[in-house]
Amino acid sequence: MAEEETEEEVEAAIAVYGADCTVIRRSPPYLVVRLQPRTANDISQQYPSVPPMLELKDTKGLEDGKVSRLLSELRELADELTSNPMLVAICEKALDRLTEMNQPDGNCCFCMEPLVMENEVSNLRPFMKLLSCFHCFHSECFIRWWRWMLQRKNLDKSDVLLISRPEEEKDVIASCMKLLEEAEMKCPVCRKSINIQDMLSIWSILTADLGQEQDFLPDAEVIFSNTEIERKAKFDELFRAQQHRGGIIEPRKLEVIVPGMFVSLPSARADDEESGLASSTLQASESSSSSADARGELLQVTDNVSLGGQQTGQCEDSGRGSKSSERFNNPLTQKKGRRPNHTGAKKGYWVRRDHEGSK
Amino acid sequence: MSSSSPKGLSRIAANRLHKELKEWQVNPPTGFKHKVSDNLQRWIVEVTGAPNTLYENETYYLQVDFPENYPMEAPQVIFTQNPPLHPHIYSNGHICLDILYDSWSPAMTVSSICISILSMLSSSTEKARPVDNDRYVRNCRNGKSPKETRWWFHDDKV
Repeated sequence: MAEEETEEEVEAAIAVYGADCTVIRRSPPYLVVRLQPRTANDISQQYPSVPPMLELKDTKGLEDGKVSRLLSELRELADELTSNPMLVAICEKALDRLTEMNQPDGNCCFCMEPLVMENEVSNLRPFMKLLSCFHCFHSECFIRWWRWMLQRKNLDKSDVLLISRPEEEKDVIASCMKLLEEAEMKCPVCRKSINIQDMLSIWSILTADLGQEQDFLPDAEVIFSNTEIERKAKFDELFRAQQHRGGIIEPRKLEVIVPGMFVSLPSARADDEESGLASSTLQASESSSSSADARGELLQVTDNVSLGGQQTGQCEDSGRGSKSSERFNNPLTQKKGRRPNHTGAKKGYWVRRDHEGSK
Repeated sequence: MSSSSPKGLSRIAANRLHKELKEWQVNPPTGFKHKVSDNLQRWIVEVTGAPNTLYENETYYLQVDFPENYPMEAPQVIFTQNPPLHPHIYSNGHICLDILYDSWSPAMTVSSICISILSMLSSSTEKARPVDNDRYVRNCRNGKSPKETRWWFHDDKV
């Protein structure tokens, strides 16, 4: 009888203390019971009169500065709301701030330009993110690198890329898998292997038809920076000095001179080199003209005629004989706007088209 | 080094180098001085050995040449004049350092390369040439770029 009672008592102890009660021996009973003051684990005794401890966990992708700023803001709020229910308020605040912060910090690792311009309303250069490491790049920079890597691995002409517009999603996955298998691409920042999830998320960017590769706008900040202006000034000065001493050899123009073309002269030398250029023009036109006797008549030099901006302008009609040259001095035709205004006048001459029609 | 008529920098490369130059002027890596020149495509960088290392107060010169496609392609980095005596630096100035070749990433900069090289110098425990120095230098006699070498990176201690 006594034994049964003891047994029941042990059962009761187990039921009451659960995991805290360890039975070493049932009979005679030998129990180890872990006992704690009832208030030990109970934060409700302190909260909300004492603000809770706050910590941010798993902040990958959030820059250190932002993490500490967010945490201190949340702690401030918790202090403020002491003695009031605050858990939801704190979570909502964190959510709002994270939403505001949800844009990448710093520069694109390829071009070193900021990914998001601070004061720019519309972001001109879209960016993308690798899902597994959260590193961000300008899309165009990443694509340029991606294509460069494929080219280096001789994969740019592989079949994988030919299916750039797969009809079904499973085709995309298959293509991505195959490409990854062959190329083994890694994040340029952290060298984490680019995986299938990353690939699927950027697939549309990678296979977008860029058409002609767009050069991005020249960076005004760089081009007009003081160092660059000084550098240019120094070079211009050097160039002028060398030019003055006759050290600059002007590259020969490879233009083929055809009848009807306006040939400009370098303005500084137009006068003293006129005859020289005319003779070189002769040689050039000799090759394009079959009749040797035409030489002398091919050229008509109309010096000092203002023909701003039309250095290689061509006559509209041909084979009019000497009339075409008369037209240029005719004020009526000038008024018709064949020629732009007289500012920026360039010296030059028109090559007559006399013999073109008769050939 | 007589590199066979290098191509000029692409606009992207020039833009990026301007950025790096500007950043360098504001915040140069410790122990390095860049003598600014008119040539954006070749930087000459002065290195001073870090205190309490074998190369303390010694001065060396790095020549950094940028390819047309920088930063897709790594720059060519060599020591000029008297290269430091180091188990990974050949007497012709070539440096056996993986990030300059196979492990290059466009996210790296001249500044980060410099830091790697100084760290390589600082962790050296002996002033000696690589064991295969003579053979390698003989192979490179006709001005071969170190980027044409097939490097074998084996030592991660120094």
